[in-house]
Amino acid sequence: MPPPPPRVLNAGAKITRFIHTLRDVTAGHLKPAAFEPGSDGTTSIAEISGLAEPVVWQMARLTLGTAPPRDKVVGRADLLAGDAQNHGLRAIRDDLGFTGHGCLEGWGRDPMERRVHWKRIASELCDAAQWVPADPPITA
Amino acid sequence: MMPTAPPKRITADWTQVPDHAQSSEARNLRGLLAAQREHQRQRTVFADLNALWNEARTDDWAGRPGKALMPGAFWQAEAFLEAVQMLAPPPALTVDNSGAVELDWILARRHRISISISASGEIIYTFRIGDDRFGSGAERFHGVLPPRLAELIAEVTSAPTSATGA
Repeated sequence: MPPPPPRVLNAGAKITRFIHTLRDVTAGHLKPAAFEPGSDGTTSIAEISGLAEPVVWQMARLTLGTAPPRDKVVGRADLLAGDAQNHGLRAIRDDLGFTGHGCLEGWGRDPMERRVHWKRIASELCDAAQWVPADPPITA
Repeated sequence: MMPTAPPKRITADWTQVPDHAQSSEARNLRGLLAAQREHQRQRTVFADLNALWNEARTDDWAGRPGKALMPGAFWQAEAFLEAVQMLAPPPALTVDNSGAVELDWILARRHRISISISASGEIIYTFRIGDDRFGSGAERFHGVLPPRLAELIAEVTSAPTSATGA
């Protein structure tokens, strides 16, 4: 059975971004680099609305790879889909790879402006996000 | 036989003694010690930059899709850190998805400045100081701190953060 079609999450949906290196965190605060999009113009997230903590960390295991630093999850950045919407982004749930997977899209692609624009939005997401450390880190 | 407790080590932090209770020699010594401590703290950030170079030498090094740290960005960041070291405490370092070095001074939620410096010396920055003051922009680094950035870094790292929450 194919995954359901992607859908835009409501503002109240709780989402998270799993973090694989403590380089993306300082003194309990996320850094903008943690949220900036990759070359495909999106940032991977997962919807965790209504999920219990152990289930969320179980979901984190599904993001693991084999090579460092992808072989562990050191924590996560929780926020609401509405926090992303406030800055012109859309939180999409696509269930690609695992149930709950999604992405933040709508970062804009104007090559002249996008680095400043991305950095500003990513910084705002950092302020909205709640850092939740994995203690101990999640491994396979 | 009961083990004896190790002798208590008595230490004194002379930097805490008020000025009026010290001789001028002691004051000079206190200043030298403080300068040495600050120098040591600043050296640590250059060691951290070297460590970052070793960590971020391949694409996707942080577990997110992104470019490796570019050699030119490393050297630009080192020069930037040299330029900023007398102005502010050392920043936290990472590499953003473009392969630029990101320097972050994040003192609290909504009290931060983040600066990315690329191999070409292009600087992208964003800051927020409380609820009302925020902004972003681009500058060019030629070995000297752009005045606007110097002002912002000094303001972020010296302003009280109690009103902004953590």
